[in-house]
Amino acid sequence: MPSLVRANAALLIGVALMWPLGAALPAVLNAYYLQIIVYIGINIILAVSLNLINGVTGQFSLGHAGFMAIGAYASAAVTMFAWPSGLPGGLWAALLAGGAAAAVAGLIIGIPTLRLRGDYLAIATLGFGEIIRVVIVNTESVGGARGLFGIPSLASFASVYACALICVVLLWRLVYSPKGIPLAAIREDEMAAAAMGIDTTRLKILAFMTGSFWAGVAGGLFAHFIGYIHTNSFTFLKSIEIVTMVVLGGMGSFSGAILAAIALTVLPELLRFGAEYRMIIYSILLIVMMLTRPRGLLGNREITTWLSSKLATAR
Amino acid sequence: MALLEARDCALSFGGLRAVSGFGLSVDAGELIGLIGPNGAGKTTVFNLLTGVYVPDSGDIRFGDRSITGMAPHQINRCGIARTFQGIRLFPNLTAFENVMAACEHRSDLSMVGTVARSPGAEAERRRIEAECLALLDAVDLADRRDTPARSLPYGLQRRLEIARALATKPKLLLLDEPAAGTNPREKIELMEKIRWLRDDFGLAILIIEHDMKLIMEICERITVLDHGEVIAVGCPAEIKSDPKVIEAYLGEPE
Repeated sequence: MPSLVRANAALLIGVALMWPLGAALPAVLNAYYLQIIVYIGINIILAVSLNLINGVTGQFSLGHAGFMAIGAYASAAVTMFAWPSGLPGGLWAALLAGGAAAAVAGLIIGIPTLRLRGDYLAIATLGFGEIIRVVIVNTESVGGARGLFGIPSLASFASVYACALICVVLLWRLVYSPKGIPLAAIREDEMAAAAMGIDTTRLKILAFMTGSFWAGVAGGLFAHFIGYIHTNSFTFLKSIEIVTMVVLGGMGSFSGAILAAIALTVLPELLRFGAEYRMIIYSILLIVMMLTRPRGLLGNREITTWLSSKLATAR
Repeated sequence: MALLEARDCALSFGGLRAVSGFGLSVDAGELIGLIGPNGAGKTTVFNLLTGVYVPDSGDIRFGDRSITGMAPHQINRCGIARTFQGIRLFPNLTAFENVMAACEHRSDLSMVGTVARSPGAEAERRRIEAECLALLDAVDLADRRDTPARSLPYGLQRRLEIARALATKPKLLLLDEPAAGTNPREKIELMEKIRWLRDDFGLAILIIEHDMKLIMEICERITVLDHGEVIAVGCPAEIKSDPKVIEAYLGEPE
């Protein structure tokens, strides 16, 4: 146990530091900026987790917003209906429940579709996202078409960024380990991967469930930050937005996904001056980006390897 | 008892009979050649043995169990590894990662242990890394460990593919034209390497190769395939003088 703490000391300290940081931020930033920063944190979790599925394992999922919705509603249900009021830890129980619910949904979608090669997952997840939306709209116990009101505002800068840090660090460790390299091998050449003894179906489902879990956590954070959720927040467009972050950042690159999550959250805000032309400018920027850097901001490399190669050539 | 025993295997694609009545037996530690003119069905045989295709009829046994109908990854786990005719590395992964990817199923690394950096998982990770490095070293690629596979010269890609196959700890290694596209000097090196691999790793090796000189020199036994059927089996000297083989390769005498 002590060795486990030692191995994770930096991560634990980083997580703990989020609380004093969160307490200090309102003194320097107004509520508007703070809200954007929190959205960035949630989008980082979404982009990095989808990157595990799309970028690293190479399985094209178009339903990340659907898993986010499941996490949001499941976790809200936990804090509103199940967790005894006054008992601390409700947020964490809710996030775990939201993540678990999304992971189970991922398993159900994954088993029939990930056994196949090709675009089946994209089509299935596309349909799945819509099914989830329609089911929620027609479920009166979670607010139906009116949305769900009165979710306790338990999430804050600190909990969002604690989760984002844990998510990024754990997924990074996974992907760059002997356990994660086979995932990238599946993306590179599925037939060769199978010939090397890799159980491609099992690993694809595992990666898909892990990514879905974190989408559920992000949904839970979102629900407990704004206190009101509606299916309009989890439409197909939201899924596309997350896919854009992964593609723009460079498929398979964590740092790329994080940079793109920041850029694509801030950009629509910066473009507010353009009023109705905002989305046009946004689209043009994306097109220019894809023309000039077709493999994404960082390709499939990490900013750390890029920096070290720059340093090596400068020397 | 034979290590690998294929009996009476047949496979058709629609109306095209790719392989029929195919039989092959490989003993532990043997070096066997599989030759035949273009389109004779050599690679199809490899695909049958590794589970890419399931034979329409016949039985393939490895050790004491039947592997007919098993998925490719299960067959690999039984102890058969292969390389591909048109090199199929993981192009954007480094040489080191290519080998590491093939170690997955042999490690008892848990996902939770990995992400939590538990002492057990860290020790296992170091063990795997050392093993991968040793394998790269065995094919003289240790100094290229961080080069992406796609940037390696052709000859080195072939060697990396062999190292990757060895990482799955096979008892039988199938090499699909390992000398294709290599120059004469590389061919001699490769020949020595294959012999050395067999002795050092205690492998049985089955080679598809077009280069007759190479095959005749290193293989103990040769199976000749033509139009999906075995037309001759024997030692290199017998094969060289077999009238059916001469006919298949040189055509019928006028």
